[in-house]
Amino acid sequence: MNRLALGGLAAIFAIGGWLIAAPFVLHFQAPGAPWTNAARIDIVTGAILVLAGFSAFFTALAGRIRELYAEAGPRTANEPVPVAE
Amino acid sequence: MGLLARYMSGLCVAVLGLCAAGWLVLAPVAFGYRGLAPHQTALADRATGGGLAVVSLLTLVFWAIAWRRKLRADGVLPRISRRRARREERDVRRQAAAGQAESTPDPAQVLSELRALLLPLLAESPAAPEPAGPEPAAPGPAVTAEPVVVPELHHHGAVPEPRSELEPFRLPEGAPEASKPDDGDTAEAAAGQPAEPDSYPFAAALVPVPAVPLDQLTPPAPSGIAAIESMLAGTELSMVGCGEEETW
Repeated sequence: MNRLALGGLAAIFAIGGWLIAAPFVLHFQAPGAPWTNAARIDIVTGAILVLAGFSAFFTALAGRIRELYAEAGPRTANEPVPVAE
Repeated sequence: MGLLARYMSGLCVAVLGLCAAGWLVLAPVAFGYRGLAPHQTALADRATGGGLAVVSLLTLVFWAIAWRRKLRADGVLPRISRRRARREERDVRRQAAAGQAESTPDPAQVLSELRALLLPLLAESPAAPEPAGPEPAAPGPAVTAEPVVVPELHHHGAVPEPRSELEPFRLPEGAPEASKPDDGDTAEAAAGQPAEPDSYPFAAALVPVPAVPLDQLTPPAPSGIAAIESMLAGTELSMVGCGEEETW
């Protein structure tokens, strides 16, 4: 379930990237011409989604890694520490 | 805080994605796109908005389920959901109403039934200790009328009491007086018989022995120290701990 949720965040990030690139990929924003309302809306919305998806993805990933460290702590605490000779 | 930030960030971004999807769907209508290809632009935004809505909704559900599982694993939420608990409670109530609920038996009732079953068997055992023959058993009602007293068994009547103190040694009755331990020559000299010469060891075998009845051929009774040693022969005395245990 955690993987699916992280995948959802990654998908949101990808959709944000698509929204940024869509006006230029679909050619409804001519290069060098002033930006239309549609292009501005898409790029702003895409940028917000990219930033939110990126930060949320790595926040969740960091939390998951912290959980793994917390679960591994009691197990490794009882094991003997190898001494280098 | 880390745990809360993790799930909260996922949920917040999913909600933000839902809002962005709604915005993308409504923007062409609200702003009236103009430009090179307004129709194509509106179509792209609506399609993207629809896809973003689906993805955001799924992400929201996944994060909510993951957080609930974590809370259940940590014991914050009850292990069984409220719906499941309600369903189980309804099933139990239905079974109780139908009289099919499994109830634990009353111990007093079970004991009384066992006593009623065992009374005939206990009544037969003291009356007939040995099965003499094909004699039929007594009828039930006559036996169960009287209370049965089980005789107490005393096994210690056949077992000697342990000896913790040293008892003075006494020779058994009829035993001869103790004599000095000595070799055969001295004993024979004391009895007045001459010793056989060492150079002729098989002379006794050549002398005719008078016939003796078989029942009189008993070994001679030991005497003195030999009697004690014969009594202690084959026994082993070991002191364990403080010396209160004897093993033979």
